Amino acid sequence: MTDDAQRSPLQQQITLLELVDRVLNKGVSLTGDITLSVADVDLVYVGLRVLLASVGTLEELEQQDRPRLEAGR
Amino acid sequence: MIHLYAIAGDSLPRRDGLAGIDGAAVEISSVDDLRVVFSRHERGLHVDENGVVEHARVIDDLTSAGATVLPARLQSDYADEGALATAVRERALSLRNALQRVAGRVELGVRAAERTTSERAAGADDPAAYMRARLADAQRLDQVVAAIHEPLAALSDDSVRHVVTIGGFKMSSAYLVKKETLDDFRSVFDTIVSEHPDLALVCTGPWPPYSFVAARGRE
Repeated sequence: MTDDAQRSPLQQQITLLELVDRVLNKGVSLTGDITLSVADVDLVYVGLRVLLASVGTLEELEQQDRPRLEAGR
Repeated sequence: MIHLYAIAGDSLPRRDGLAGIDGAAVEISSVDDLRVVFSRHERGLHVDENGVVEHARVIDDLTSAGATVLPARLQSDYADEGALATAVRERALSLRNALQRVAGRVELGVRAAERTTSERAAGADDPAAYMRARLADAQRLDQVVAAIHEPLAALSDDSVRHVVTIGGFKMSSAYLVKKETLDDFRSVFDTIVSEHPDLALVCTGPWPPYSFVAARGRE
């Protein structure tokens, strides 16, 4: 991951969503012997998913950040 | 309780002083020719957003030092080291193969969404016209997916994608890319962005290869 300070709020939020998606849903899972309570995990994930799942939210965030996004390319 | 962060090959360097979830010391031990990266906890972890970040930070620390690792899913907790070693040995062959597959590579993520929904009003009173409009829309979205995914997949060794078209088009995809191909990948991504002003497109990464730890054919 690159330095958060170089990212716009949109990039940071999408990066966080992508991070949570990977850490919770991807990666090696060796066994079904899961002892963690998944309720907390689901809440973290759902909260972020709601934030970014809608096209409207994505658009809105991007409009706010467009100048910085373009400047960053 | 043992919390697993990653599995690596026997070339994994020592990492002294690395802190994991709740500040627990990160340890590395051997299971035959594989290495497991873990921390010990008195009870099951209460995972919140910080836990997600701390788990990921340990994996990032290993990969940014140049190590090839298979990141573990967060819910990878074991009663003790023996239980972890047993689970690793049961899958040792596929783990070795996965380590070979991701060596020298990173993962890049792409998210795409349409700025306006693709629902068409045309033919709302005529079922046949409505179905034709929906079919045309589905074909158009297939072309959009191909225009984004195919040039990026061509630069990668493996890829996965997930497309949702209900309530508007959204795509989430991941690409396993050689480190030396990163600049080319980003250049092609920028071209795709410029060619699709109707789409919101974001590229994230490089990530450890979370999406490519299991045996899978190329999509």
